[in-house]
Amino acid sequence: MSKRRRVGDHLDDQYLRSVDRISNLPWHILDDILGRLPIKDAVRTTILSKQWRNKWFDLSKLHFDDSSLSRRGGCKLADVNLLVNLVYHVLLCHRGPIHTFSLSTFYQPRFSDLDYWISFISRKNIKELAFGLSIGFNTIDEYVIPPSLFSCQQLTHLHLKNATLFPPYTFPGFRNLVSLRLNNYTNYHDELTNLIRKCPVLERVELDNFQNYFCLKIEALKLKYLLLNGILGVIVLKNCPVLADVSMIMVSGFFPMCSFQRRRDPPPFLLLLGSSSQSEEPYITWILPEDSQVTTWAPASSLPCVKVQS
Amino acid sequence: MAIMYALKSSDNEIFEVEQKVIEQSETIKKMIEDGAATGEIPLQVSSKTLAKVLEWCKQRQHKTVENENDDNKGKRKKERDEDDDIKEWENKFSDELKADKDVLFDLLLASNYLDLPALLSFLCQLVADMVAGKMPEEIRRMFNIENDFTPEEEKAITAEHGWAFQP
Repeated sequence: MSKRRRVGDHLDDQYLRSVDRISNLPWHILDDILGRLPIKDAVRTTILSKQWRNKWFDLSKLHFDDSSLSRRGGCKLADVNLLVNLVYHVLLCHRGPIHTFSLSTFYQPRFSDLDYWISFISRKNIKELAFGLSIGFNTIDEYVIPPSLFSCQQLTHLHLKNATLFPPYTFPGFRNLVSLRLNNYTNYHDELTNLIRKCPVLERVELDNFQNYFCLKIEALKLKYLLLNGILGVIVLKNCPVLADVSMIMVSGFFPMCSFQRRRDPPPFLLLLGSSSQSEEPYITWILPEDSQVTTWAPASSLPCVKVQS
Repeated sequence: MAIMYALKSSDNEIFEVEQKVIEQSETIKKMIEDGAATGEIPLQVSSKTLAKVLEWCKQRQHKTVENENDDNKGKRKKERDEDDDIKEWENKFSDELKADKDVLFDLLLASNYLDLPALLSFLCQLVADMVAGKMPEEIRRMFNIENDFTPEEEKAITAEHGWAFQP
């Protein structure tokens, strides 16, 4: 049939002798393997044999991206319908829990579709959610995550791009959230401060392309890693006793002021960063080991790379 | 002096291994903690597979120890070199497994049984990389899966999930 197999023809005997091992692997191993594939590859296993016919219905990890779409003729606006249809197709076929759901797309599905999907997966025991959206070319509105997500108490990872969060006042917090990553998030008020405060086991906070027009207070007892990139404004780190690694990348000439305050000690660390007037973006990494006793003051513009260690 | 344990494979071969190396296996660690592991530790793994498992564990152990001993100064460069070494080692390990898929699947089941999450994850990624982007006929051939659909059934399924079969 296909010419490229000719290379392996001499191996045919070996193939005939060997048995089909993959089809009989325990489901959790197969689930792990299939969960590492783009959804298109995972769904295509349906045709391997009768044993494989329905395996993908039970996948606990679903990854959607634009590679699921046909490659002919590059990206077209109309392709968004293909993407939307295939997400519905997979979700309607799916049975059982969905632990991981990721969507990363250049297109912008309708907000109502996104709402349906989140509402659906919110009832599927979701643990890791990654929603990477594009800034709309047909709308200037930001996508707001629907309230149903805030009931997902199993959630451990929440990664959003071009989406915003308004936790309801009654939001009890994500008790299991370990990693929060927001890309292109604008902080106008205290939602983010409250969200972070209500996640008791949060270890990683990454705010990429962050625009901060309000004081962001980060209070997280388990926080180990913090990435801040963007217009940082005023950020106060408070009660972060195990914070070990802070990366800050600033993009414009604001006057970001950060104060770092330990719970027990008097404030051992106060960093006041001056404005950066130069065109080059300052790149600053703080590394704060457990017992650092450092007080420093530095204008960001004069220090393209600052590492502070005890 | 490192504490040694004797592991006994299903075909009765004995492997003398350092405690630190085998403690990566949650299953064995638990056996040791429970005190079930006096003398030889019997495992339902063939000697061929067990040797491969230990090869992996020793490589991992090597890496962990070196990282602990490093101080932060000059670490980056050294780390990069080490990462390259590990990559090279892993590539060789992967190639061997790709060439002998029976060993690959034995190792998958062993890593599951011995509860070695890092190895399991590595192998799952390896199989996923082998499958990714391949057409069904190639996958069947690679893993000796028998196609028991009639051509009509196959056509119907392809039509049902049309988008997944487009190039």
